[in-house]
Amino acid sequence: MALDASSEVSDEALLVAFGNGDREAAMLLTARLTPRIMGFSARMLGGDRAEAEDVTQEAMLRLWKIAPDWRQGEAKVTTWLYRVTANLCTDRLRKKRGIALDTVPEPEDETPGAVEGMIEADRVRALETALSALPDRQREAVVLRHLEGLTNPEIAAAMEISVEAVESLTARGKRTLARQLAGQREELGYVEN
Amino acid sequence: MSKTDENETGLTDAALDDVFAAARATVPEPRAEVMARILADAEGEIDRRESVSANARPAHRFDILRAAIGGWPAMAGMATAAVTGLWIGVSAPDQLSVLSGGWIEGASANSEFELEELVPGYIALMALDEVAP
Repeated sequence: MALDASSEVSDEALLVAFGNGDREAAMLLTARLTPRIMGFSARMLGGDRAEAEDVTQEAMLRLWKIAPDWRQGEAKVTTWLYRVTANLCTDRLRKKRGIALDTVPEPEDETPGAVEGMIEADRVRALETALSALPDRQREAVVLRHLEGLTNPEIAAAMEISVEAVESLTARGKRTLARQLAGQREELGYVEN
Repeated sequence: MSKTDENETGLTDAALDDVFAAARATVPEPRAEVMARILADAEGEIDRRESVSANARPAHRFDILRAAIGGWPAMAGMATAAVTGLWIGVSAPDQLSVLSGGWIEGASANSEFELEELVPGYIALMALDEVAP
């Protein structure tokens, strides 16, 4: 498979090619899918990079193993991967839930100079912390919709629920995030005049 | 003005969208080492599958036949029937003559039946043959 034609080949076609022993297809799929799955798993795991890398490798390994049985047209590779990754993340979070909740940092309301010093990295960190406190399904829906940029029907397929259920989960998730981040309004740079 | 603005219990939708945008802009990139591990997994999976298919013995014609008739038990039954048939054909014409009431005879027995007895229409057939020019 020629590299210059790689952008025109769908993930599904590449996976079938890999299932037939095409090593170049493996390279293309790795380059194409790993960053997305890494980003998604990191956000699902509250920014834990090491855990996210492990989950990404495990999800991709499962993809390699299922490749010979993959049937084009039945599902999108990304949808399947998001589902597998979300399940892997949920399993890991459940195992360490008690510890994780104790280690979530509390907002420091009285930090001097925090208003001026707020940068985007702090917003990201605050969001990661707030996301970690969301129920699993709400977090998954919010991350897929607002950070991964999937459409509601795509999220519905990945989560195996209805579009209406996706809308409900994202709406509730956003409301909860808004309330949680309200305590850090000043640090986030949203000072009311 | 959004609902969150009104009750002042949370961040506004616009502010929350800003936070989402900041998060989207800072995607954690996988390290080269992780990419290499994932690619090695893929290569290993292809190697494993190729190894399995290479070790698989190509099917022999006899294997296909044996499978088609039902495996080794069916083969044993067929072998028994073949040997029995051979034994009947070669070594037991006299016994066969007894069992068949004399219709089938061995080489040593005298013929007790004429062709006309075995084929009743034979005489009529011969007669027709004689009449014909």
